[in-house]
Amino acid sequence: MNTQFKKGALELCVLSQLVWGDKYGYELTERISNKMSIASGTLYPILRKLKEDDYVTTYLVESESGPARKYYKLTEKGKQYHTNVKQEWNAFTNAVNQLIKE
Amino acid sequence: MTKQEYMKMLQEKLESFGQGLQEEILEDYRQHFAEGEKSGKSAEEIIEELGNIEEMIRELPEEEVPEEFAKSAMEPVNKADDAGQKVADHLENTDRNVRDTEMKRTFSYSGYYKSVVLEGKTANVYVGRSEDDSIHVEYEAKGVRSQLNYEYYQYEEDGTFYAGVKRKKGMRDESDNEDKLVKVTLFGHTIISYGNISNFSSDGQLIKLTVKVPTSVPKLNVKVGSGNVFVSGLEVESFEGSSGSGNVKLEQFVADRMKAHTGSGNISADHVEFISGNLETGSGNVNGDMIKGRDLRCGTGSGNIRLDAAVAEYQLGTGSGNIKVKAVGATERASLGTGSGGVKIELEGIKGMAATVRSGSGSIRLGWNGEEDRKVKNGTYAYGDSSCKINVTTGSGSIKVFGK
Repeated sequence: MNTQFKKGALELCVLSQLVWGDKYGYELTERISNKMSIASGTLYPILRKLKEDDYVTTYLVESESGPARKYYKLTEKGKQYHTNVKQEWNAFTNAVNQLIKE
Repeated sequence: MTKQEYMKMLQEKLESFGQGLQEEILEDYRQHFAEGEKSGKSAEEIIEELGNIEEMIRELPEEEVPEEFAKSAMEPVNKADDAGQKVADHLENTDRNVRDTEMKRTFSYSGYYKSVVLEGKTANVYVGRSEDDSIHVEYEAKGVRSQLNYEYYQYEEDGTFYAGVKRKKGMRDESDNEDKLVKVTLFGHTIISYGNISNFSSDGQLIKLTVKVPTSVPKLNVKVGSGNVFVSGLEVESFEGSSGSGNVKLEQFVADRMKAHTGSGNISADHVEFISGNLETGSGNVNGDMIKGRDLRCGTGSGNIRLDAAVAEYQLGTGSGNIKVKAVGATERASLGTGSGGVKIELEGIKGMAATVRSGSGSIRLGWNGEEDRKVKNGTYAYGDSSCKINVTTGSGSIKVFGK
C-alpha cells in the first residue's frame, strides 16, 4: 500500500481511538492490530509525530506491576484535526464506494 | 529471535537517528514487551506483533531518516499495488555502479488533471506532448557526489498534478514550500511518490526533468530557478513559464493565454500561437519566429526584441536594446519603444497605416508600398486608409517603418 496513504489512515485510526479517552501505547496498538494486520511497531512513530505536532500530549502513570505507562491524550488542536481528517476520509471513501459500484 | 536480539537490532537500526528519538522508540518497545508479557504473550508473539523494524523506521519523519534509508524507503511508495492509486509504471535504472554519478527514474500517471505545475529549481524542464492519456515524468541527473542533495517529488492536490525537484530538507532554501510536503496526511494532500535525486553538487550537476502532458490538461505552469524551460508540441488553454536566470524556449506550442518570463535569460518562440501572449525578460533577448496571435506583449530591460509574426496588436518595449519586427497579416496596432536602441518594423498585408514616430536624436525613415518619404521628422504620418495605428518612440536610436 502507498505508505503516505497508509500513514494517513493509521493516523486517523489512532486519533479516533483517543477521542473516547486517553490510552497507553500498548492498549492503542492492541485495539488497532486486532482489527487489521499491521506491524504494531509502526504506530509508535505515528504517535511520536502526533505529539510533535501538538495533536496529543503524554503523561506517565505508575503501574503496580511493571514500568510506568505512557498515556496519550488528545489536545484541543488534536480534536479539531481529528474532525477535519475524518471528514476528508469520509468524503474520500464515499467517493470511492460510489465509483466502485458504478 | 529472542527479545534481546530483537531489541539489539532495533537499537542498531536507530543508531543514526537523534538521541531523543532513539531513546523514545526504544522505550516504547520496552514498554510494549512489558505489557505483552504481562498479558501472557511469549516474546516471539510480541516480536511478531511489533513487526518488521525497517517498516517502522519508514514511518519516522523524513528529515530524521538517514541517507541510505531514504533511498530504499522510497521504493515501496512507487509500487503500483496500491489499489485505486494512480501509480502505473515505475522503471528504474538499478545499475549501482552508475548510481553515484547518474540516475534516471520514470513514472506515469493516468487520470484527469485540470492543471500541471512543474518546479525545477536548478533542473532543466522539458515539457512535451504525451502520446496517451497519462502524464509521464522522467528525472535524470548527472553529476559529482557532494553534500548538496536534491529530491524529486510528485503529488496531486485538488486536481492539480505537481512534479519537481527541490533542495533536500536541511539545506537552506527559503522559496521551498515545505508545507506541501510535510503536511502530507490524507487525501487533501495525496503524495503519490516522493524521492531523492541522489547526491549531486551544484557544480557539475545536471538535472533534467522531462514531462509528457496529455492534450486534455488545460493549464500548464512551469517554474525553474537557474534551469531552462523548454516546451514543445503542446496545446493548452493557459501557460505560465518562468525561469530565474535560464532561458525559456517555446516551440510548436499553442496556448490561449501564454506568459513566459525570465530574469536574465533569453526567450525564444518558434511556431507559437496564442490569443494573448506575454514574453518578458529582465536583461535577455526576445526572439520570435512564426508567431500567431491576437495580442502580444514583449519586454526586456536591456536586450533586443526580434519578431517575425502575425499578430493584431503589438506592444513591445526594451530599455536599451533594438527592436526589429516583421509583421504579416492584418496588424491593427503596434506600439514599440526603446530607451536608446533602434526600431525597425516592416508590415505586410495592411490597408493603410497611421504612424506616429518620435526619436530623440536618431534618423527616421518611413515608407509605404515601396516608396519612401523624404525628410521625416517627429510626428504622425498617414498612408492608405490609416487603419493600422503605429507608434514608435526611441530615446536616441533610428526608426524605420515600412508598410504595404
